[in-house]
Amino acid sequence: MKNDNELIQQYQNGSNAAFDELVRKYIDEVYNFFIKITNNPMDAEDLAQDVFLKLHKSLRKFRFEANFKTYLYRVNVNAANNYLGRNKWRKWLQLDDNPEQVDDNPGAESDWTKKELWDAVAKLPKTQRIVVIMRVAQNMPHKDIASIIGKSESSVKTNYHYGINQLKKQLGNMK
Amino acid sequence: MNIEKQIQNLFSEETTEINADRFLDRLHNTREKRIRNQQRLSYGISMSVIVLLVGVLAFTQLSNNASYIQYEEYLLSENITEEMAEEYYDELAVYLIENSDDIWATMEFFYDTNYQTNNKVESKL
Repeated sequence: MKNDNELIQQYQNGSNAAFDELVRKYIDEVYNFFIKITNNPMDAEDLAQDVFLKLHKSLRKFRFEANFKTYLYRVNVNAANNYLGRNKWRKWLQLDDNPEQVDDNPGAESDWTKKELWDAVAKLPKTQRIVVIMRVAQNMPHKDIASIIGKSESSVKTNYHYGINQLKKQLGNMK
Repeated sequence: MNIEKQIQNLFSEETTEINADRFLDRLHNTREKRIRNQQRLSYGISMSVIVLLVGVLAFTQLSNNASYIQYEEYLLSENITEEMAEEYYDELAVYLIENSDDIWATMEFFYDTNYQTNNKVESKL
């Protein structure tokens, strides 16, 4: 199987099949990242579309200075930031029509329902939400998160710490 | 169980797969649609620029030529001298008589046009 750089190189030489292969390789990862951000499959798919459309354009000029995965996550985070910025106003105006999340797994090994967790995560500030999701759900080291979101490692740690504390407080109030 | 672990468990339950073929079809359709829209937009902009340019040029040409567009001064009665009028009617009378061979029709024509110097015309005829 070809690695990312080889696929990008082929794409830069005019092979659209190489781009499609790259999409197939990362689509699930990107889609699941956005599912965790949006809690809405349709929005997640739209955001994933936007990300790959952007990549289709920008990879033509990709200079292999950064790791592709880091670059991909940077594009993801930008898209997520834009989405969260837009949604803040929609939620404030109560235009958000996210479907209600039903706890379809009552035997889950957790003290809260999924909906409660999503609600708590949705209330976190933008940076804290992204850092918590990347750290907890994607299992990423602080260092990688820092390079992706363009902040220092200590800032990432602080945001993570505040985010988790906020979640504890919110979820603690629910019980 | 600590909170990170519980969140991790809940998030890991959310992992879903997407139909890559359908996703790629939609991706390429959207991309082509965007390219078409972009082409339409740039075509529209360039056409608007051309129309604007032609409009500006036409307007400039018109305003430049405006001072040159003048009425034909010789048609104004105040510039026509009595001699000029007389000469014109003389020539007209000769032409009409030669072409119609009917002196009375020519006379009637001059009568209808209220020619002031009927006497002169009559005397010349």
